[in-house]
Amino acid sequence: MSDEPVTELLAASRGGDRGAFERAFAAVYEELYVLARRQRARSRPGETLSTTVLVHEAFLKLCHGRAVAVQDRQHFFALAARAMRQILVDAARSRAAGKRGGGVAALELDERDLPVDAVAVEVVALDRALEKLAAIDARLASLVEARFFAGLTDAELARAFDRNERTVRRDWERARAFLLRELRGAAAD
Amino acid sequence: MSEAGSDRWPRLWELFDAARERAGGEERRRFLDQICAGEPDLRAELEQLLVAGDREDRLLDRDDRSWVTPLLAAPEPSSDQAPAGVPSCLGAWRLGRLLGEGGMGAVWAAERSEGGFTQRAAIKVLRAGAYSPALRERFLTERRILAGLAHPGIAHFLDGGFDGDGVPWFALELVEGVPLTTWCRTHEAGLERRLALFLEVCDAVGYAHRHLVVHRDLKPSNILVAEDGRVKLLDFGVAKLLPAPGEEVGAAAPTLLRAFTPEYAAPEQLEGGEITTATDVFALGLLLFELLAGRRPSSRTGSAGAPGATVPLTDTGERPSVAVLDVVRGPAGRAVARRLRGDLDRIVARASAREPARRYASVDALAQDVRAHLAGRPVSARGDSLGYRASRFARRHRVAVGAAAVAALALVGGLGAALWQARRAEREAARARAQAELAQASRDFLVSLFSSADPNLAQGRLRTDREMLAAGVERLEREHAGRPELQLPLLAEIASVYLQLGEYELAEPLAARVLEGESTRHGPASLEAARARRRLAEIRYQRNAFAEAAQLELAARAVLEASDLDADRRQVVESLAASAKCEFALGHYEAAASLLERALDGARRGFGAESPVALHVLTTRTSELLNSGRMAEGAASARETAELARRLEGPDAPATLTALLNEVVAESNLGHRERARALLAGLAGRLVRVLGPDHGETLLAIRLEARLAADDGDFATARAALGRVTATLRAAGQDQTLGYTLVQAANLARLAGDGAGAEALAREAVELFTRFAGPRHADTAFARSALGAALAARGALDEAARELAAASEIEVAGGFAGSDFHADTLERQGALELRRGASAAARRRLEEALALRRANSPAGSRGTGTTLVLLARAQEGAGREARCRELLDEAVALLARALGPEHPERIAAEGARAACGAPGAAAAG
Repeated sequence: MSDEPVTELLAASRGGDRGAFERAFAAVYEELYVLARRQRARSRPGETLSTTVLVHEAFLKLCHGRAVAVQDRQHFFALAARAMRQILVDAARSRAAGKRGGGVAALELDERDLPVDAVAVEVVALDRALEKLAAIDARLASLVEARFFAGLTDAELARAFDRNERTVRRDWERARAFLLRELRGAAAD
Repeated sequence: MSEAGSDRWPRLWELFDAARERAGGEERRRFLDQICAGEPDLRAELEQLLVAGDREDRLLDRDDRSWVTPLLAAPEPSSDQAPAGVPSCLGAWRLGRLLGEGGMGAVWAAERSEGGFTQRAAIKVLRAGAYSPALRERFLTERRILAGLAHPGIAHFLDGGFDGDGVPWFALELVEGVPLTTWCRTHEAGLERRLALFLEVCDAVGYAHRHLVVHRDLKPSNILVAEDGRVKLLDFGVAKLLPAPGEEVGAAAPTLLRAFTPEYAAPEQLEGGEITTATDVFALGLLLFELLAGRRPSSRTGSAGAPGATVPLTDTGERPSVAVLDVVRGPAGRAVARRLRGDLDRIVARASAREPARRYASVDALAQDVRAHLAGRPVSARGDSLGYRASRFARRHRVAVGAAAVAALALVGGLGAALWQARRAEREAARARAQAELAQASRDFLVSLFSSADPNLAQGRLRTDREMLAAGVERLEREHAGRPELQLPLLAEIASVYLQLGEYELAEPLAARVLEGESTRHGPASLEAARARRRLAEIRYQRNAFAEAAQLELAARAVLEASDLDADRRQVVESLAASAKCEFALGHYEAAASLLERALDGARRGFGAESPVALHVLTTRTSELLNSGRMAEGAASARETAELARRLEGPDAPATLTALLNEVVAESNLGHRERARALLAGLAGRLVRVLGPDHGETLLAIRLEARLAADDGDFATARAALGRVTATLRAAGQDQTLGYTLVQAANLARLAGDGAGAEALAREAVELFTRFAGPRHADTAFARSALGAALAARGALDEAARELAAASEIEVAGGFAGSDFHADTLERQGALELRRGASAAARRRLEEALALRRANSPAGSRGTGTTLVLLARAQEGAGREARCRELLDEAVALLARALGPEHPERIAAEGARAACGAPGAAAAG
């Protein structure tokens, strides 16, 4: 991981420094990955891993609790959400790779307990749909990242996106409809 | 996939929102009819979105995130493709794919069908071409051995025979599994899982040993984890049958062939020594190393040796807890290393000791230690450590280390394991808590050393304790240099104890080191560093570096405020209170008051108005108000504190009694003699009952009684009481309180007309404070001021002037220019100048003192009275009789309230007032 303080990278990347963005992302990604693995190593079967806790933990660690500008804070959560998405999608992709063909049928089952293979397939599909969403509205896509992958609550989303909660909920409905339409379309392919 | 014309989206979204406002069905359809008139494409798209939006999705709509864990836990799919084998038949078995090839032969998957029932097996065939009588003999030995073993952890024998060419084969239970270490890696098995699997291996090996079979080639590739998650031991190809008791040693497998795997071979195998069950114990030790560290010991990572290849024969003492850092990097690696350090390192070391005799006596003994570790029980491998260390500690510090202290020491030693148990299951927040527990435990340990016999006599052993602490620091540096997680909290606690002892100069470097260490370990803005910062702040405060202390508190708060742990929120409140103390000391009363307000507010909101935290803040506020001479506010604050303490902890609780004492201090300073007397009545008795006769608070009550007696003019009683207090404090080796008491006794002696006695007492106080608080400490100034007054009383005016000037300068430089004790010094300087006839200078000085008195006690105090009397005298001869009378009127009124009729200061004031001649003055009293 880069030794540069993430706070500075965040500020620089917000200022448009692409290299700083990459490095900040790498730092956040690595931190989340380590945290995720550690968390997983600790969790007992059936215990839930909270991505929200991970994101906050990563934030505390990387920024060392330094005073972080509000914009940087938002930026961080966006970054963390992106990283979380990548981690989960990577995991899903490697899981789904061996199951190609068989997994889709399982999708039609409506069960409360999702089998991990089905989750993997759905997450990969969701990731593709999210790419399309990003092409028309990057902010909606990053909202999905923050909500779905990083597990932020409406209140946290409102703060992270500097919107009120109602707007956040409205945007979520929009994004959700778009994604479900895409997913339905993909399933029909 | 491009969404052409993405500028249509804003409108689309808007309509989507609006349509969603309408409930489904008819209403929504009408709405769409209306807004999409003539735009069928728009309508189609909108409808798609609305339909999609109405669907429920089990993943997207999930509130919980339970889907995340299994996804991350999912193993990377492995792709070991079985190559097509050479089809053949052996007995009733049809051979399938080749499973593997070894030195002696090949292993094939096979199955046989009998009565519509298909059985699968692994068939091992002696390798053609490598046929030799010795190999053949060994192969048959393996077959015989396996046929005699029936254990769920050992692949069991099914069948055996010879093929048409007389080549021997046998069929074993087919184990579809992966090597143990690979399985652990791909399943990211946690430590407990790994140890559980290891215990299964031990179980199987132990079973074999009981059947007189030594495996001799235990290594990960021979230990598979089957699909059901159970361990299966394979390949007894080089196994040896031990001679049964009484039996002669049989033909050993030829070691010349090096039919073992060098990386896992025991020294005695490599050296051609005697093969016993200890050989398997050694291999199990290496296996455990690899399971724990994720790699083999570095002395064993060389390529499988050709004959004569050098494999280091000696145990290099490499520890899994160190090796793991090569495999798992960063904080995660350090976390794992922490778990391995101690028990597990030792178990591995003992199992893989070079000398067979130093290893565990049996596999079962090894397994027992692993089980003990898992259960958190002491482990035999560390046998020499705990009790040994405790006894060594006691011997080194020839103090009466009581049983409790030894237990506490054991706790500190065993805490690593306990903490690990706790950490493993909990999240980061819990880790912080565990660390707080570690701090608490080590603190308890230190404190227990101090108070093992009688808490009230603890102070009597300060010298020894200090030596012991110094030894403790040294020992921490020496023995725990590589264990900051234990070293830093213990150093921190020693710093805290030094702080309590008033050894600020010793405390400071330790606290600074802890801050540095925690900053390195957890980052400068970590909670750990913040807590370290707070400790250092308190020391800096005690050393009068108030601005710096305030700065440290502020920095600590910035971090602590972000934490939602109760302990940290409490720290925030305490930090606010500590900052207030700094501001008080700096004379920034507004800032101090506002900080206290915030502290109190935080305490009440976070912990409740009637909470111990709120009580702590109130207590701090009271003592700060008193220390800075704000007696009226102090009295009110003390009342509030006492009230809360009574409700919270009871009428005789130490906190209640302390608050009452503070109220007495304030009231008596305000000159409310009767009220003070009423509050104090019976208080000393209750304190003796609750805290004991030698307790600081009890002694304070006696000092207050002495003061009230002195205010009455009963100096004999007062001096006798103070004499008892100083004797007790001297015996206890107490410094600060003794200093204050000496100052009080000096002032008393001076008032009683004993200038020489006063000087001796004051000098002792100055010496004491200079020694332990430093020459520039406010307490030293406080004593020097009293010395100045004593010298003046004895007639040594020049020396008196020097002492008073020095005191005054330290007070101002130290930030006490606004304090009431600075007013005392000014008043004494004024009195001295008056005696020397420098009326103008005296007037200026006394006006300054009076201003301070009035600022600190708007309603007037005893000090206001004495200053007024002096100021009145300074008016004499200046043609200011009216002003003089005015001043004396007020002084007499105040002193009449504060002092008894026999008190010389009151008598002098009344005399002066009478001498003034008084138009319309009423008789004093």
